[in-house]
Amino acid sequence: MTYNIMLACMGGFSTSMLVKKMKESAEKIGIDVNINAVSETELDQYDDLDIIMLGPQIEYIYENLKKQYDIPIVVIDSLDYGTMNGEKVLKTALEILENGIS
Amino acid sequence: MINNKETLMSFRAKLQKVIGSIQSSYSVQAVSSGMMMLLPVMMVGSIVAVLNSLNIESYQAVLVATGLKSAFKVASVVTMNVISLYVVVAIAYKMAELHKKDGILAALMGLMAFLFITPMKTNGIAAIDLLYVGSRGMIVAMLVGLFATRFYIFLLNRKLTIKMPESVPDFVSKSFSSLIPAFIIALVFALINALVGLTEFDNVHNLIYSIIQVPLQGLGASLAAALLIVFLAEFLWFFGIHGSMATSAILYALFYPFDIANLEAFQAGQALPFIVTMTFINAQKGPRYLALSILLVRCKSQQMKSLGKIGFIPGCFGISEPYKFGLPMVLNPILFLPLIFAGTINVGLSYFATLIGIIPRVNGMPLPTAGTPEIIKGFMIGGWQMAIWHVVLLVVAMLVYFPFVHYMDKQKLSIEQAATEK
Repeated sequence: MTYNIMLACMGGFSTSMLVKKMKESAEKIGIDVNINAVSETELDQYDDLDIIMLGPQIEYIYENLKKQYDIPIVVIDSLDYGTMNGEKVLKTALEILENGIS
Repeated sequence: MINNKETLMSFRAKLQKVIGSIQSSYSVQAVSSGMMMLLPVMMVGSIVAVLNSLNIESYQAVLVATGLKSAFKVASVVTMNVISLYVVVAIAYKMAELHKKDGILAALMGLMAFLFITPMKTNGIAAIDLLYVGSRGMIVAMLVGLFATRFYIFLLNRKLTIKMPESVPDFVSKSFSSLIPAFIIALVFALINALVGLTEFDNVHNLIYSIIQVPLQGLGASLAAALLIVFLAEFLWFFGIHGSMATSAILYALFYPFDIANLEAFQAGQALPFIVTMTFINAQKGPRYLALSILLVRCKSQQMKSLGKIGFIPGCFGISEPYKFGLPMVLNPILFLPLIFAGTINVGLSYFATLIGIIPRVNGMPLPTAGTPEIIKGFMIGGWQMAIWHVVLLVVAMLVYFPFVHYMDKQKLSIEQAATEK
């Protein structure tokens, strides 16, 4: 099964940069995942997501979102976000998808 | 120092909670996401306004000769001059969606309610004075969009529906379920309209205009309000909260109507009424992250330099996240002052530059806060003078950031050198 990873921030701009890096890294390690970025306000238009990853700048919607979804929701580590460390963020996502939130 | 960090972190957690609970209000969400939906319509209106107003004689002659001039006029009437109709539809729709109810039906109810309280002449042809449905009606439209939808949902939840016999198909009875709420909404808003008609205000629009909009606009149009909003947004950013997102509902509710008013005047070739608008507040903070990019790529420390490379292109488009979280700027006391002051100084300077007439007032073109290339952004909101002004703001932002970035660079460089010597 292919995982559906969704990143969200305010306009979907900065997360889409990170998505590009994550895709590159997924290709490198040879796994098949769907990774997309979207504006936080459009999140509800998507079904079948496996994990939602929030940009640290909208961490304040985390609590509300957690009430609405029963899939893992995580706030991306701020330093990984700032340095656009796609490899590390992808690793975090896959770990949670496979082992659950520790 | 550790103690300090802990205080900061606990303050941050409290702030996150406060902003989170404000943002979880359906009214706040409906206003900001509903108004965001209007962007495409407003872009049509404003691009046409710009095309229409280019002051080149031969070009204007072509416009008149080809009939494009009157086509352009229609385009601005059906967008900006009736913007309040779009506002009520979008906000009612979003509000209903948030309550998990049918958005389109709620939007129709909202529009109906809005039209009930809007003065109309009905002799022969039905005519609405554009005064009420343009920028001046936006606050009424927001209020009606929120209130009528809440009322509609309340009625739906009371199950005031006509009971159909078992044999009636489901989809038929569903279409009847909104019937009684629709009649009640119509009755209530017609009643409100009639009652306010008896007062000196004559209609709901005048009432809300005098008791809410005029005082708010007096407050909103001031430099102090602009500086306060910019300060608040940057202050929130220091704690890692997306400041312009958190303040967007205030901006849309109070300052966006000024943009539309400017755009209406711009289209009509009149003097623009407002200096401080939403676009002014968003755009005149200046190309801060382009400034930071230029400073960073010239840094000696490898860490700062490589971050400058990651953030340069996004910085050109006003996207700051690599710097906010990578440098970082969030919870970094060294960069607190420039983070707060670069934007506020630029907005203050821009206000006075507008006041003495060096730069024009912003034409009201709605721009997303991020994603438009810097400098070009200046051109779009105020022509070539504004583009040059944004170069000035770029230099100002570089001057504000320079000493702090320089200090950080020296610090990081010595750490890096110490690491290599080992």
